[in-house]
Amino acid sequence: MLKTSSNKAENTHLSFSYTKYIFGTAILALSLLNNTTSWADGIGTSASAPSLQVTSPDLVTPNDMKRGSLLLKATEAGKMVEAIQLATNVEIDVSGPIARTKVTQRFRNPSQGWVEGTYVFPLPENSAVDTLKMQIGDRFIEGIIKPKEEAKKIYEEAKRTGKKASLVEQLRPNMFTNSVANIGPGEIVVVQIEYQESVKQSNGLFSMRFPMVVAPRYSPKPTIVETVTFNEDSSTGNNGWGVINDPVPDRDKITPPVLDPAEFAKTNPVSLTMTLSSGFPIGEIKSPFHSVTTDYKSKDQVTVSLADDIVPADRDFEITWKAEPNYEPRVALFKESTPQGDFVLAFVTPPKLEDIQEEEIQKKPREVIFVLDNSGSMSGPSIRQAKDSLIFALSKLTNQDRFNIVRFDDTYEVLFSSAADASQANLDIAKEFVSSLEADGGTEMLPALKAALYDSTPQNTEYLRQVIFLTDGAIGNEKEMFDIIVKQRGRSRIFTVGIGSAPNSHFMSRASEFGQGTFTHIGSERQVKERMTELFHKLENPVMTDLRATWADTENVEVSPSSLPDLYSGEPIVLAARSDSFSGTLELSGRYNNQPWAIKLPLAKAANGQGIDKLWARRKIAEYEGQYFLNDDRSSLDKLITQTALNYHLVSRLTSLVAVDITPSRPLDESLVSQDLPLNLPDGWDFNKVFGEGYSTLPAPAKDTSLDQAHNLILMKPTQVAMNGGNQKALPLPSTATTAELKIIAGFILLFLSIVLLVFTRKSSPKPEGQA
Amino acid sequence: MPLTKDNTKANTKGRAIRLFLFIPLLAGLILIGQGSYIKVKAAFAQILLDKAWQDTVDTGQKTKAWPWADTFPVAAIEVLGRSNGRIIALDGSSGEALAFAPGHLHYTASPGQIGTAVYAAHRDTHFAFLENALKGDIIVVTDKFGEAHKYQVDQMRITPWDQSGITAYDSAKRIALVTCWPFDATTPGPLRYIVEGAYLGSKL
Repeated sequence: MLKTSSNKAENTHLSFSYTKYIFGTAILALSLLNNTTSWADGIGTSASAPSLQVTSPDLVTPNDMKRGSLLLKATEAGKMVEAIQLATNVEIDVSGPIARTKVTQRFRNPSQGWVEGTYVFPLPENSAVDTLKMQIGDRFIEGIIKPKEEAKKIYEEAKRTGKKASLVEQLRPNMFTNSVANIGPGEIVVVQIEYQESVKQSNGLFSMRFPMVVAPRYSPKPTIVETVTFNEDSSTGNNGWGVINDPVPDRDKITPPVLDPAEFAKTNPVSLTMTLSSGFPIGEIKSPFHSVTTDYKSKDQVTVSLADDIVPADRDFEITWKAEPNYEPRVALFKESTPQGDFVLAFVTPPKLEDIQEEEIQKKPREVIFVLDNSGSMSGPSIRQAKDSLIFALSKLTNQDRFNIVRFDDTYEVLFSSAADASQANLDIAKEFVSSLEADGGTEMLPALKAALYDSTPQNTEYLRQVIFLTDGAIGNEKEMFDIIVKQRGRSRIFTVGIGSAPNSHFMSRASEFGQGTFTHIGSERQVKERMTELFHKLENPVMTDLRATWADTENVEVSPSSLPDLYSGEPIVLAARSDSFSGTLELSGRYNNQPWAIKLPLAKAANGQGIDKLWARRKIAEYEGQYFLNDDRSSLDKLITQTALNYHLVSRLTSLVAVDITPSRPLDESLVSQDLPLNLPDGWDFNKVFGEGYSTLPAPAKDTSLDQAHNLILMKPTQVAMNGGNQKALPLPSTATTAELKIIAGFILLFLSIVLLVFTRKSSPKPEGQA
Repeated sequence: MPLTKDNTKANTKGRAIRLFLFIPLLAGLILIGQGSYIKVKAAFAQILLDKAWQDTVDTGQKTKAWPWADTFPVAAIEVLGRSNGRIIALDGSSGEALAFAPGHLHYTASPGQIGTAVYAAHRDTHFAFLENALKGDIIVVTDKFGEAHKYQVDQMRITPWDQSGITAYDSAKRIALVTCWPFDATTPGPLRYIVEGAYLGSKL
């Protein structure tokens, strides 16, 4: 008999459903408090701010967030409520190899009290966040960069004194949080973040992604499909709000039957435009998940916008473009002069395979270890894509290859005891094994990774050993994984295949980086064949190795990455470098298809670019972070990271952007952390333009939209979450009494009673006998 | 003849009463059995957990004590001179976990980390000894890496289950051992007994 406790503590366990994701705790530290109380004295003080009861079926933690969201703290430890998101606008500006993105979002504080909000937003991995601007009511704030601890202190101080403040911190290289203190009742907050990244290039295809979705990390429950869509032609008009248009017929079984305002509010209407100045005549432009319209200004300049003006943020935006045939650039060189020095960015694509004679291509037999994630987070389309990909991959093996399959959820299984020949019989066994797999259970990737890296013949150079991971990467222990990869990879090369609409691409691209392989993303079943073919093309074909950059006539060059990685077919060399001044040439050399290869670039001929310094700095930081797993002297690495990030105004693991509102009441000596903003709106601050006419930063009237009514109804429901951050809510303690003693005592009483009665009846029963 | 008839009647009646009296007897035995089962299970689980814990520390991997367990050992707790040797704690504080061992509350600190590490267990099994704990007692918690963290008890208090004052944001390195209060009560109640300690240090 197991005891089930009856008090509310039990409920808490149920809602802590992302239990394995311990990282949550760390984020809680960043979470929001009511502005009237400070962090430290939060427990004792009873703030008199009006407490607002909000019921939401989905309490969340920052790690659960699927998109940039403003979270308001709930009373349940570590849980938050998502604020109503009013609109998101994305402007992407691609200039040559660099993409700069400006994300502007509007939120409203739905509560009657003053709150602090944590805004969580996913960004492309290794993007360099350098600008934060915020408009709260009629106040404007711009962030400046500080070491993380200091920034936090400044923020806390401002919060205590009732000033509006904002803090942008990096949670993971692809996930950031922005805390905003002192948002008034009904006040609208506008957050603008700018970041830049380098455009990806592979096989002549240029691409970039805007992540609207971050997968919930490790979720033992099946992922519920986003069920709210926008109905453009409905009578609700173009006010940005749609109606529930439920594509899941059996939704009742998986979600509450009521119209769920929390779900509704989660649908984040996004408008997106992109101006593309490629630097070469543009051929084909494709967006695989969204329909787009293009407006050409010239051959190499085009504006791309979403065909549906506004889309729900339920899938990543991806866009790819190609050069016009015969205009494909093999080499690109950009430079920039800044006070920090001169910067150079070079893209070089190795010679195409077509240029090499077929018989010259040296193909080695391969030993391929497939690792398939069949944990619960993969259920639905993801596991189908993964299975399809794997079965397709099996068909590409030749009979000189060897292979094995490892599948894992919270357990793992290895198909063959050691890598088996890719004979028809073995392939049939493998196909049957794969087909029978179902997605269920937790994600314990570490043992599977170790099993896949276990190499019985580490010295064998006859075979190329390639480990292919098919997963959504929804795990929390990334660092442990990287550690194992770096230490145990041996001769194996690790290739990650990200499955699903929002894989954890940070984890997977870093894992493949550490494993000296590549990362492939498969976002839909349609892409399986194309992307897997591309991957196998890379796996089968020769690699560019021993790459080196030599600088003639330029001294003290800091190259990032400092050691160039191996290149697979179709991948360009991307190299950023800093020096006091560049002159002469850059020579890139290496071995391709076992032949020496070299190219010389005259640096004087470089075109002017922008943002190369930040790109270089971000790569430098990533490189330092990569050394964590090889180096024990972490504090000196930390210093390097902090210094680099401060110099280039970048948010990193160790630096944050902090902004404190300028208020007339604040003493002058505290202006240290504030930016003097001109009275006129700076460029790019025209939120009217961003969000259209009629946009207001005044508190919205309660009758706002149907959504608000629904929300208000919800507000009156019994308490589950209180949005009063004034009191740090104590952790509920579980019930810790068993009924053992009660039962034993009751048992003995009954026993005693029945014995007494038995004795009594025995004594009285002889009576009739005596009479006889 | 009527006498015999009466006699038979009385005999039947007596047998019926006696049979009827066996029901409370049986019920009493079942209840005692169930109560003892809870205690035996709690004690026996610790033997299995102890082995799983040893494996956890040796291999550095989560090891379940039995294949169908839904949680795994995360720490070993010993209150020097009070507890009967080390007690293995499980991850989480679900009823299932607490039936076998103390549970480490989710979202609370791990041993040695900043924050309060909270472990809860039943007052009548694993944490019965807390009744005797005193200020100054040493709590030793071994984490999954085999590192032993020492805490010294600095306060004992009684609070309602939802007003412990312990939050997920505590900034000092502390430990809290929690159980139901009062110790001699037989029915579950809203009060909790908390033995808190401050961090002293650790050694491998």
